[in-house]
Amino acid sequence: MPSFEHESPALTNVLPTCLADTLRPTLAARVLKVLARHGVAATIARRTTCCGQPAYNAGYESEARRVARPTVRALAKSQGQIVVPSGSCTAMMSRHWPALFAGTADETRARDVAARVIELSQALAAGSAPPAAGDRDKPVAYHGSCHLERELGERDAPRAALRAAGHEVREPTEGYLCCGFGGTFAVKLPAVSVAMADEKLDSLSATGATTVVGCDLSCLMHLEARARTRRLPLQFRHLAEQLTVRGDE
Amino acid sequence: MTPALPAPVHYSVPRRGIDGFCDAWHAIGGTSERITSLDERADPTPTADLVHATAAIAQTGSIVIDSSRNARAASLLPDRCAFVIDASTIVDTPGDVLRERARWWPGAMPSQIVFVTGPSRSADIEMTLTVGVHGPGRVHAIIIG
Amino acid sequence: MNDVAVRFVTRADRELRNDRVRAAVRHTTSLLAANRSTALDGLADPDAVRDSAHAIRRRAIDTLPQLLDRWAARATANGIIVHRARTAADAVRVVLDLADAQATAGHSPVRIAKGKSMASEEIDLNDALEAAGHEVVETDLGEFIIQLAREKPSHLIVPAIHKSRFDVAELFTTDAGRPIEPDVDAEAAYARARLREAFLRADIGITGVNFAIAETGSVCLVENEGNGRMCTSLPRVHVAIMGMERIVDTWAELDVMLALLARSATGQALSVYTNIISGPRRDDELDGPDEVHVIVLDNGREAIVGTEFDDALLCIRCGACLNVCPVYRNIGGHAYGTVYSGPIGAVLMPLLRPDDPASRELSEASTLCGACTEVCPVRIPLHDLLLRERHRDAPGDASRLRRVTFRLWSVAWAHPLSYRISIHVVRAILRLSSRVPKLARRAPGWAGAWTRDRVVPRVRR
Repeated sequence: MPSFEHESPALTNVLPTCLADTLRPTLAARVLKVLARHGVAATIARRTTCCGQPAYNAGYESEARRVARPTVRALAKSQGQIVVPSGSCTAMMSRHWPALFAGTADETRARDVAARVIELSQALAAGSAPPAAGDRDKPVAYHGSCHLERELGERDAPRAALRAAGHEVREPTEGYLCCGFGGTFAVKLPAVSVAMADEKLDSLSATGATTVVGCDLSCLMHLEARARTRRLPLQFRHLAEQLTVRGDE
Repeated sequence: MTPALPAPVHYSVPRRGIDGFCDAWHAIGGTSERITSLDERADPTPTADLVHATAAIAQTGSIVIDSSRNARAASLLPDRCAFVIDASTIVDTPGDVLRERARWWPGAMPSQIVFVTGPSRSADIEMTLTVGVHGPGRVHAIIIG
Repeated sequence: MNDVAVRFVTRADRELRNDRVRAAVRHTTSLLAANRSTALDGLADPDAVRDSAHAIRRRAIDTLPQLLDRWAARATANGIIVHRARTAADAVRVVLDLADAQATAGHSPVRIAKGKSMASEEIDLNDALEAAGHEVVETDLGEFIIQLAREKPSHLIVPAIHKSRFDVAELFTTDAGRPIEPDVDAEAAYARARLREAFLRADIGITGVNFAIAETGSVCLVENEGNGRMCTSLPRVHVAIMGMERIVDTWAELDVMLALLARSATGQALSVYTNIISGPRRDDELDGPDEVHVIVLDNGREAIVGTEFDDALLCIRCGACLNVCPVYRNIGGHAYGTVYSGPIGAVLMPLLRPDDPASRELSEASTLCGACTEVCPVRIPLHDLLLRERHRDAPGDASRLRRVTFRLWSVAWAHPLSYRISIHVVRAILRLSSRVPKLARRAPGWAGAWTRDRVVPRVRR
């Protein structure tokens, strides 16, 4: 394990994200591990909560602001890059925070943080050493999440990271189609959401790979929940998990 | 209000001249022939009305016709239609007609100008292509010169 | 069919259960999306053309009143009769008056041949004309099918996207009074013969407008079948209905728009017929209508100009956003219950009908995945507009329970400590409920909405 201690000032910060805190508490540690392999010393940001996206996308700006405020303030105290293991949270922070906090006391902080936020795979693309994976040579199907691909325009970095780790990366047909999660969409229009997940799962299954890798836990959670209902032999891993996979996983 | 001209439209595979027009026109289902003068045509397609083109566009395989030179019905009601194109009026792109309107129609505008790009077609049922659903299903270009 | 009293979620669920329609819509939209992508590759720099198109449309909206006046002055000088209609009722009134004039002139019942026009759908023109005793025939093949089925179009470009050739054969057989085979060519042949008669007898031809061109006072109309040309050429009177925003300044601008329209819609370089109409038949011309009327329809548009939403008015109705929308692909157009469906419908309807809850709720019909924004030829930020509409409407619209839920959530997560605690509580709930899946499936509200067809998300250590 790399050292998280503050012997030398770590300039890079990692925001765990609320979904990781809830579903995969070790994700942030894995992100540190991957970054360390790239020669990036990082530390997990403290006293953060969520980026506010669930409320923001549902139409509730003031609620989103209330939730995001502690995160803005905590991150504003940091220096250097802020690595986020989620395309969707990264997009929320970099694209929407400046507008969300415009005219408030936190406007300058929000702008400062927005400019320093970077999604995990993008941070890896900037580094040098390729990471090593526990099960290289295995084909993986890559699910390009909507906000990573379209809000951030990042298509190459995650695929490159997987290839550098020795994986054959397989693409589902019509890969641009959304998995159907969409935050509260998944529960406001559940049947449509499930139909979208099914279409995505069918095309992922058709790749022949049994491991699906993505950069957003939200999509992975949604696809996994539906795949398990359908008893599909697929496993879902976040990029940071796939790049730090151990023999017993 | 005199706005700057919008940027020209460039194409990845430019089609030019008579050959370019014929390639594009054939690709969308048209037929063509080249002759030096209409008189030389012993047997003008018997059931087809002759429609005189104002211009033709190589890039898209379009034939530009207008209501000042032809009855509108002539290129519309028959099952097939033959267009007479003067080779010197074949231009490269739609922009060469649209952006140089005064060259083609120096006087008053005809009441109707039509860019005909292939035979009448529809894919409204199961995305299956059918030609000649209302307008002519067979279109022939006679290029002179 | 378009039952607006029923909530969107209910209509969507109903359409979703129609497997045959869903398969047809997915198949067609996939094909169109692929065609579009290939066709745009035909442009050397499609992004530059799209930027140019955006700038052209943006300037048109920013100078809309002047541009419309300039166009109207030229059109009038050309002999076109220009009508401005503030509301749907105003527009319908104009058409009814024109039809009445034909009836008075002895053409009764007045026969009307109609080309495809979304603006006419928007004002429910056919119902009004039929109620007044006039005969209206839709002449676009897809629209004709829809008219026989007494339905509404479910796609901007392919109105009968949800009908199979078997459905069509059934409708045509009833119409013909003799069997029509479920074969696309046979069906097209029947429509050709049947509608040819309608064209030749029509007193009035009604069409839409793709672009008005201010420079020459013209209107441009694109189509593939030739029915639009029939409607604008054969009847004595041609009436064109245009949304007031569908205007460009010059023919050079039209060049840019035409380079994108058909490529984005069907993947063609140009539609088969690009008609540019600059007036009624001139004295030295052999045929053409004696009267050309253009109705400039506001119907909620002008109120959008100058607001943060007015990029929605850049739309050229190509339908590209429908074809890539994962929501539209699964539920089809009818589920929206409105004239415009898909992403542009979900954006436009809450703007055109800000006082109608059924229209407002359509901003929910998206995961904000952004596929629509990515393909829009004129670069409308469609998913950003949906988000802004939610910001405008949700605080006042959503159920009290929903508002309270978000309020409580935001209070709990407003401090790192209470955030930590609530994460532990949520983890415990998820762990427990995953052990009792049958019970979880019957949970109320949003929890049950998740678990009905999906297991409880797995919590890891």
